[in-house]
Amino acid sequence: MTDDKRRKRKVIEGSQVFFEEDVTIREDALKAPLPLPPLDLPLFGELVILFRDQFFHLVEQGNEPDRMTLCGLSFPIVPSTTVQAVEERCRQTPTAAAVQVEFLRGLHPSFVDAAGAPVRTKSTQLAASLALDKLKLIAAAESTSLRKPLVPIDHIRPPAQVSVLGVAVPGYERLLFLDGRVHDLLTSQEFFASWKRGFHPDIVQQVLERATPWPARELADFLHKNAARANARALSVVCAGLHTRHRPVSIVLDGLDFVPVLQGPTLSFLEDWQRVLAQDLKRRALGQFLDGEGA
Amino acid sequence: MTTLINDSLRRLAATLKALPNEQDRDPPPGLNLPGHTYQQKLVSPEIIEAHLSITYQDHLKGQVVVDYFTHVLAGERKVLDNLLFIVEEARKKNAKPMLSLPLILVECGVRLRELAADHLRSPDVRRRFDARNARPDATKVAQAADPYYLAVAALVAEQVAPSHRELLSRAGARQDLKAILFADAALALGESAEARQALAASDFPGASIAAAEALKLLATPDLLHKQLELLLAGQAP
Repeated sequence: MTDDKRRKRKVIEGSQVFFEEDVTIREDALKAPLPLPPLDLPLFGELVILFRDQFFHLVEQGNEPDRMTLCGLSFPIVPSTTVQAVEERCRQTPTAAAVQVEFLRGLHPSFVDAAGAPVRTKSTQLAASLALDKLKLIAAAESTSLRKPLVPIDHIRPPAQVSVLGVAVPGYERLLFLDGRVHDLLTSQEFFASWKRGFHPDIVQQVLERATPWPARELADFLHKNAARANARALSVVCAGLHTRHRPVSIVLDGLDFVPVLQGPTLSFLEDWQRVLAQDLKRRALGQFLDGEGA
Repeated sequence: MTTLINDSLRRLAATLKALPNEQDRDPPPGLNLPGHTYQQKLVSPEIIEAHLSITYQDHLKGQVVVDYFTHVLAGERKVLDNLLFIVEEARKKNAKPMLSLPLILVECGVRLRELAADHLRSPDVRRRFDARNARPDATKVAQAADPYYLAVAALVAEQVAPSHRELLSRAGARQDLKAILFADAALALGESAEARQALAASDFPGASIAAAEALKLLATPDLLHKQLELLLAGQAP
């Protein structure tokens, strides 16, 4: 846009009237990815569980009721850090601060001075306010392409999520990370439901409509007893996932049995997380610009 | 089963964690996490892709035995093809034929009888052993093993006789572990003083060669026939 085409805006302050040029933001800068380094979290160096916005890991000893049993060994599952704390650490890095300044500069050079300090005028603040509204629309549109939340069949308390990840991508609420792969953690009934076409409708109804949670072992026994009304392959896979006599693997959290089901590479999860973190950094940069505080 | 966490198990766990994956296929439905990690570390992609039907109890160890025999001791995939053929033929009489570990071992022994007399003692075997070997990442192996890898180590240890479990913690590389698993399986079928001496001396390729020699002596066509009858009848030996 050339100078002579710029709109002049009438500004009234007290008894004074003056005209100020509109600041036109570069909308492509709102959508452009931020040049953040890839999320590389040391906590993924071992088996990690994400549950209720909290990361957990295994320890060798303890009497905690949340446990993972593997190959004859039973380990307590204990909290390591919250998702929110990890996000806060990412936000506090010098890179994140520098990227936020460059984001503002990318929207319009007049947002920040040469040293990166915000330049707050009526026109830049109005432009920042418009940019924030547009950013929210973009974020809402992008969130539809992210993972959908699991539909809990039963017994799961609604997660009290406060992290950016938990709010923006509720599909990442019950996960197990191991050696570069991420697995969904499904309750016994959710796991059964993913194979329900391999079972007689009467069995499906009995399993899914039970009011109390099915312990994994009890469900496996029930399905074995009704083997005649199941597809052999589906029965074999479901029972192997729920409970095996030989080398049983079990995960108990909040008194419920969970079954890990492969979702994909951890890298995809980290990319999605970084995308929503970047959105949050942009939102915070504009929010701080507008009122000098967090948005 | 109660597994004891001791120093040997910790060393084995650290080695397993630090070993690069031999293959990184996604786990098939029904395979548990430690079983999948075991395969990632100790089973080659060719064996995974062959989809051998092996009995549930012998599945993981059977895959390592076929893998080690095919790629190191024999240096050819004839046994793998034979086993696949056996399963295919058995399916005509038994809808779900599952290879047992003794049948796999006897088939290996029978194949060794068909190869040159000095096949196992040729330098090629140790050359293949070295060529396919992989050492753990030294920086990672020095770190304490986490609980998950203690469980994977327990799974590997469970595959061998209690008297051989400590040997696993002395393994310095992938093929050492496979050689121990092979020698342990073969020694359960036929005794070899030479193999036991080699194991005690941590000469793991030597132990596997001596154990394979013993296997060659006992694996008669009659024994193979007996194993095949059990397979057709759907019975474990």
